[in-house]
Amino acid sequence: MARRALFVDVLAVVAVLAIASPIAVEGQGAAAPSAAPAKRYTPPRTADGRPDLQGMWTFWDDTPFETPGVPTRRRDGDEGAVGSADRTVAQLQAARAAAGLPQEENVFYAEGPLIPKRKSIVVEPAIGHVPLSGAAAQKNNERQDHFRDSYRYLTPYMRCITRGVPGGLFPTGVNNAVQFIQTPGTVAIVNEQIHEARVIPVDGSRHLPQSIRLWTGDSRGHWEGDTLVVDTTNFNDKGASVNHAQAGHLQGVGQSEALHVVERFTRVSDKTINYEVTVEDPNIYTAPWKAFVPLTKNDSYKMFEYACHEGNVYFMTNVLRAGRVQEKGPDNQAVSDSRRQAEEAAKAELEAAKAKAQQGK
Amino acid sequence: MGKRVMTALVAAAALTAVLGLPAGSAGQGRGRGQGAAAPAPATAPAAAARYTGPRTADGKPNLNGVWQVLSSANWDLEPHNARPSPNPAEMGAVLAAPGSAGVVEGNEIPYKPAALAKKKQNAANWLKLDPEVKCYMPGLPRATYMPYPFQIIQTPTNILFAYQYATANRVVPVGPRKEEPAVDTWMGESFARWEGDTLVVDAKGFNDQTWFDRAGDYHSTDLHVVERYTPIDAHVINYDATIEDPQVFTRPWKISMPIYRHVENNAQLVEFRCVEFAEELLYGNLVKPGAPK
Repeated sequence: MARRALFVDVLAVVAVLAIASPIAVEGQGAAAPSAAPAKRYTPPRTADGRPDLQGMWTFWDDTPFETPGVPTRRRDGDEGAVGSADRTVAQLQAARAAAGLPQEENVFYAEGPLIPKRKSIVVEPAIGHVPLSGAAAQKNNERQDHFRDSYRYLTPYMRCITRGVPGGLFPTGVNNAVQFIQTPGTVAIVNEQIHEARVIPVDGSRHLPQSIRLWTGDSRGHWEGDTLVVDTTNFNDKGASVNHAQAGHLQGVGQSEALHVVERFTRVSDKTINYEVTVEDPNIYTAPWKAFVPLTKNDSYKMFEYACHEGNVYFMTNVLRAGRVQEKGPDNQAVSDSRRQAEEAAKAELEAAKAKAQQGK
Repeated sequence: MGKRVMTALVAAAALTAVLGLPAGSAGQGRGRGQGAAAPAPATAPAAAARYTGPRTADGKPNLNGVWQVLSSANWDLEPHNARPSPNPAEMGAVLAAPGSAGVVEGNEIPYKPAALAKKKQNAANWLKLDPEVKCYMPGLPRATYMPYPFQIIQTPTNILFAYQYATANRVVPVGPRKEEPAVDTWMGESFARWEGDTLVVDAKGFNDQTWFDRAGDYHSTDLHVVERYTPIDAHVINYDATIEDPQVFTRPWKISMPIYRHVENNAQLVEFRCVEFAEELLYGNLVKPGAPK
């Protein structure tokens, strides 16, 4: 008996270890994906001897952005504040029902299976939660509270300005695709969303002068062995590092001019590029944090034009106009008309009932 | 730089000397003289000399880098004199349109009569109707001659054109078009091939939302654009674009102008994300009074 029990224990331990393994194998790594792969992979090389990252890569992923269940400072129950990344579809529907909100038809349109692959996209701190400062959380809540007042309170993604850096490489519902194009001295990452082409000099050149402030900063790359390291500075304070609904309460958290992003791209197999990013912004986060997203080669994926701003007039005008109508409140003509009609109908019914009662006497 | 390039350079120099062509000159208003009356439109000079610039590993002219046109084609493709800005009372001479001898071969865009009326209406309502004002994607060939630089990232299989204006871009596969475009888009769908040292880019699948310039020149969804990039040396590309749209024009027509390389040490695109500059115009009237615009 004892021996069998031991065997089962050992088996259980081995199984747990296998599931929790930090080794980055084919993008299944969780805790420490930057650990060296178990088997050394030699990537195909470009003419100038660098790993060839070229081709079409997709990154649909239902892994929650942060570990579910960790408390946030976002006030739940607000429409639009329900981050779908940390809940299943069933949980989302239950939350909406509990809040008295109508169900949506496409509560989570997605281009892949709703099966989380890893614990969270955020891998450092180990708890899988972004160390957001209280002040930054408060500021984002205020922004969200005023989102019908002006386009300036909407996220850069909703305004169709940019998905941000590193935001553009965090998975959303659809169009999670990038195309790498490489020449000696340049790596271009073309993102399907909002047709963003990051042209990254890998030529030893320096960052732009500090006075230049950009929505997606200024990126400069260099190779460390077979890893492309991209360093980005010169951010403006109007953008956001994380822009998308799947990031829940982090959606729209701003960036400051102190933001510094370091990305590492390593091709670990024919099919996978491991993408790791470190985000540091002392004005927004109490510590640097890291995320991991594997990119999967997909030669049959076709990118289509993502004419975001060109088609955005309907969203913008509807959101803002709804705000102006809401503001009118009880004085709103349409609302007061219908209320007056209801009051008059009730009064008429009461009069008729009284008259009938009178007649009956 | 290998022996092949040196041989090419020597041959080009010899040819240049024999033909008496100024090496690497940009057209200084010398027309092709294709039987046009009076001063011919300013087209690029006939590129009879061989390409003298650097080549990529696969032997093609190396077009990698940052480029920009010097023409004022974006104001008006046809010959035109200088015009005041939309708001001279405040802006004076700033943003007045410069004059130009034009970039259209034959000087006139061959509109059908009804289409010409629409062009004139467009021009009269330029600020309300020109998609450039709203920071919409510029389409082709306008993206080439917007008054902003663009960058070419060239590999044997794909050529990325990254335009500074509105972060517009297109990835152009080098190879044949295998199927018709599935949807109409702002930038169309392009495929490239090399004809000798000329890069030929064929684009169609456009929507009808873009203009060719600020003068109301427009097109339909039948638009078909064939561009030819003929580099003559390391710094100049002779560019022409043939425009075909049987709904709007009586025949295909052509524009041409040189494209110049940015040679300064820190040549690079600096983002022109103009959406934020267009939001007040598009949505400002719906913003809550007192809220930021």
